[in-house]
Amino acid sequence: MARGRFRLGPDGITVTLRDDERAGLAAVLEQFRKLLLEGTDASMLRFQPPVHIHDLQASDEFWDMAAGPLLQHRLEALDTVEAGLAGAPLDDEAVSAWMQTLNSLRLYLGNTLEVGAATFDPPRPGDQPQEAARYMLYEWLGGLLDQLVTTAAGALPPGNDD
Amino acid sequence: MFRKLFGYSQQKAHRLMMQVHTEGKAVVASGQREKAEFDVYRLHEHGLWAILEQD
Repeated sequence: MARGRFRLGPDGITVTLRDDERAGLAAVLEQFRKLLLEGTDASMLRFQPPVHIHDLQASDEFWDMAAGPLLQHRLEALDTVEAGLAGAPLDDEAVSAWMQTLNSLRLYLGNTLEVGAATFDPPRPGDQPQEAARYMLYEWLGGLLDQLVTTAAGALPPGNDD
Repeated sequence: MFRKLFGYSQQKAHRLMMQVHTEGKAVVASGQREKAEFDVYRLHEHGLWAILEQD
């Protein structure tokens, strides 16, 4: 994908998407909002894995507490990304919302495509047009996220190795 | 993401990211159960898949 979708400036990070990219992302965000609210798509189960892998009761207790706030958080992040599509500079909170949403979209798409499987082979447009389109979107979102992370990293303090 | 969440250096964050990429997982934080669950929550907030293992 073309570089330069995000630019660090004095007021924050500016998003510059082409019109077709903006429209496409807006449509994907709307579909993702429906999936989050319905919560019935099998691939959404990936969003609530057994956190304590050796203690299912503890996992259930964790998700009893965390599922509601996490859903609310994801929906708010979606709102922030939608608002940012208009091109206003992103502050720190909005940058986080963009990263979270792009990552969540990739987690969902990657799960439907079984990207993590050892046998994964990128779908070909001729054989599997729907999966190939979904994989193209997965890759495009990855490129977008990579650009945002690289841009935002320029403003982070050095950090520690501990 | 690891830099932002845990304050890690670019070098450490990059090493962990590459470990996730090549091995499918990495230990990104450790601690008592409540802190670990909080870290898991924050990772899920950021669209990252995280689970806990007891030593």
